Amino acid sequence: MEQISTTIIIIILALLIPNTISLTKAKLAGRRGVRIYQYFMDTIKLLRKGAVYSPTTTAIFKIAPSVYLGASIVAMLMIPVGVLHPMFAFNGDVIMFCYLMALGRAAIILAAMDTGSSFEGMGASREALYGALIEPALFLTIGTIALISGSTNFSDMFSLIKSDNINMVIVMLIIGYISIKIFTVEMGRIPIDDPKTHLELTMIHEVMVLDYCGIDLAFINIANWLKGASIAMIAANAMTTAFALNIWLTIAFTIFVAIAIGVVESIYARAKMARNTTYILTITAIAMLIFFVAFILLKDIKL
Amino acid sequence: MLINLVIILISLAILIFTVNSKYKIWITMAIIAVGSIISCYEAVKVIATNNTYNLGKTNNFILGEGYMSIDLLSAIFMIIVSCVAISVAIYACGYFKTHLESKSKIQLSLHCFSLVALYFAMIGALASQDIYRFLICWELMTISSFLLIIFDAQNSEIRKNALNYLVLMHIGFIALVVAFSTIMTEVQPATFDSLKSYFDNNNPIPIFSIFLLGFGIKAGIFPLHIWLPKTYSAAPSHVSAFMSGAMKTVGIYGVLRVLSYINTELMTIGIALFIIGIITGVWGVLLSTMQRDTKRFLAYSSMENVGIIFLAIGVSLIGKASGNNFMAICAMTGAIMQLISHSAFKTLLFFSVGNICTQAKSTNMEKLGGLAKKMPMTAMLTMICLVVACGLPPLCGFISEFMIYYGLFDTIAMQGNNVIIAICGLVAMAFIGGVVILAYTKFYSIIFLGNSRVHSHDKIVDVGTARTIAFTIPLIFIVAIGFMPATFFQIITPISETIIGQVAHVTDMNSVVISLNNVRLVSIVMVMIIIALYILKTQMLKKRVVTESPTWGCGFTAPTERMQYSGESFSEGLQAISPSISKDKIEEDKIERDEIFPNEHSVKIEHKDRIDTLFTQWWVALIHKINKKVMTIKTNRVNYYILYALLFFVVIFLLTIFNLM
Repeated sequence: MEQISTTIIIIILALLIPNTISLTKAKLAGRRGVRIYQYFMDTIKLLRKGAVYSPTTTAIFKIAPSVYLGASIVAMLMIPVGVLHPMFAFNGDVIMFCYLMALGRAAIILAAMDTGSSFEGMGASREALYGALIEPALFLTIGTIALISGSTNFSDMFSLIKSDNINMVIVMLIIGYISIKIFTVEMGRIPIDDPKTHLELTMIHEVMVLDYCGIDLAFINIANWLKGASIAMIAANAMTTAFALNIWLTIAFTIFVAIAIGVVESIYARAKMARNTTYILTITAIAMLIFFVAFILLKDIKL
Repeated sequence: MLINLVIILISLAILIFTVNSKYKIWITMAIIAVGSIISCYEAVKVIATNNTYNLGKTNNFILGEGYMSIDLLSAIFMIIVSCVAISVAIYACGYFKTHLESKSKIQLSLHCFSLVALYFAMIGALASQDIYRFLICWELMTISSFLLIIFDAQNSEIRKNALNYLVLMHIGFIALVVAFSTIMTEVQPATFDSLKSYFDNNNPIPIFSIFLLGFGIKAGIFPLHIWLPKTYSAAPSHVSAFMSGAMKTVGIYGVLRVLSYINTELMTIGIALFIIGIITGVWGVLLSTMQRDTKRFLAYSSMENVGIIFLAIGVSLIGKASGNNFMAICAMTGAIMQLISHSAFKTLLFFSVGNICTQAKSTNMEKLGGLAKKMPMTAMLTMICLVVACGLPPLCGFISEFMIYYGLFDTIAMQGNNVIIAICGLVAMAFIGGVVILAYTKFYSIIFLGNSRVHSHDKIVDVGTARTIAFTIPLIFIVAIGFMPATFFQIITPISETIIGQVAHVTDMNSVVISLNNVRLVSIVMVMIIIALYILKTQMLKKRVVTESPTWGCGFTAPTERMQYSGESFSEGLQAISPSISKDKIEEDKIERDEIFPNEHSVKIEHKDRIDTLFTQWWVALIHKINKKVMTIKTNRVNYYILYALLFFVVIFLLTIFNLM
């Protein structure tokens, strides 16, 4: 029962996050914004459509969306919501989570290359590079949480952290911050990529799925949302543990993550493509720094 | 008894020289098959009963007098080598059909005989307890593999690379001889077991460094890897597969064998191996993304895998030194699993490159493309290898990386002594793992996806059945480890325990088994969800309109295959941020100012391994210099030579007088 409610909460949040981001952006720009269930309706519409395939493509192009969605669903089933346990919980599930995300990424990169289009090749190349560079940051962040909590299991990790020490509160908040950064990179939001862009040459995520339509595109969209919700949930859980582990607080923090991204997207322009690698490596550096800070704090070295 | 059987088998190999060209490879295959069945049977028996199988004292004309036995460590390597060997022999059957006319009889015989010799040399090296036997087999390995490489010796480039290989291997061999003879001056008899008493009484670091040089050159660790890309691209594909899948593992076996006798100074050795592993891995993976030649790509990728294995061995030694038993066992088990999965998938990848090589007549990625439609079987099998190589779930590549990560994460969570080491290993593994995905998606998509970049590829068909059958044995391993991780973990743990010399706690091991069972559960659920989603989609599409339309070209209506993304551009982003490890050379004929309508121009981009040129430059120059100095005594005049002889006697005379000899 508990596991099912966890799953349902994440699915609902997965639907809410893209809406919240676009609503925040609309409000800040003085527009009315879309209905709260607009993205959901769009996807339903896509699911009712047929398909168009390029003669260049092979079976990989047709299987890839299922692989991406399957991997994202299973990855999502490992993420807890506050104290609620997820469907799958075992020691070392953090490793599996990271690798499932990598599996989804590899599938989409191959599908993009399958079309033989230079635009999609561009997107695939960028995605592969940024994915490779963000991987250490992701592992460092999870490693820091593992260090503080003494567990390698997502569902225990957050519940084992005690927030009685003010130093640890700060560390957990910074981990939440880094997780939001990882979210922007993995999901291709500003400043890495602008999902609203209309020029193929400057896209990353959108350009990789240019040739998809109908059910395939719907699968990819759903997979994207689930992946985004999983990472946002890690960020929210980390921030919640800084205070008190409470389901409502976690949900509120997830919404906060979405709003924060919406605000950032309204006031910042995207970075130049060449600067992205520096940006991602900076995230890794911050993650490394926070790991050592946490390590020193735990060793209780009096400076 | 068993040894005599093997000797009879080897003697049967002489038959290869007598029969018709067609049957040579069949005899080779039969001999290797019988040999691998025997050695696999014995090895499995050793692992199942956990008893060392003593072959007793040999006394025969080939191996001389010595002891042979199969223990746990050599058993697992024997299984790897035998499985690779039998696949290679089956593959060679298919491969030879295209070469029957172009090669002379003696060439074919020599090649087949060398295959048999290489296989039995490796088995001999693994089973030797006696150092002289070991060194003979080691040398036999080098020579037979050299003969295998020069199969296409008409090409001068190949001859040069093969000689390069031969010289480097002998440097390694000399290092081994030096190391063993140093030990033999102190302890007797000349068996591996006496290494233990030597290492207990002496500082193991100097001798171990020499051993590392000797074995590491075969395994291809960081500064000693320069022969890998050259040799693998020179050799025929099945030979590259044999060398990469089996011979490399024997190099790592040597390191593990020596390490299992060392009990002091483990921290230093561990950290050294750990750092070597990280450098090897990062170097290999970054250079592999830049390669254009498929075989060179695989060579660097195999270097990356060796890096991960050494990283894990280092972590395991550090764990042992600091009393972190759990990390030690996990990392060592991960290293052995990585070894198995590397042997399996790298053999397969060399096979598929061999298929591409004979069908499309090119190993240059930029001249391939769109082969998935023409060679669907090869494409599918390569896809499986890609999943393993990237360490993605659900196959065996993930399980081995999972084990290494598991040990590292557990150390971090327990806040033990090695947190800093663990986090460094974590970051290195994560980075390597990320870039591997870039490298392999490039490899796969440039070769198999999109449209063909060359028009002559229109008539390509997939290869015959013999070559496809060769894929099965490694595939069984890949799938079995992927879906039965806990079983394999329990099989391999006793082996890591013997290497480390400590026994794992039962509760720790049970927790790993629970995790691995969960990993399997998640993998199976994922595969089922993916299949369900795919079936759902196809069912939904059945009632709807599915049309075909060209790839989106942003409104451009005449796309050509030359407009596709190339391999060079795919990895350009990574090259831009890692300029210092490769030596780039760009040759282009510039477009002149008065060329209003530009003519055809060519651009040639080369990425050379920086260490490669650095290494050959200074020591070749040094040898030349010394050679020149020495050659001044060669005057071609008899009176000078008489003088030299006289001087020699004088020196000897003086030395005897002063009692210096």
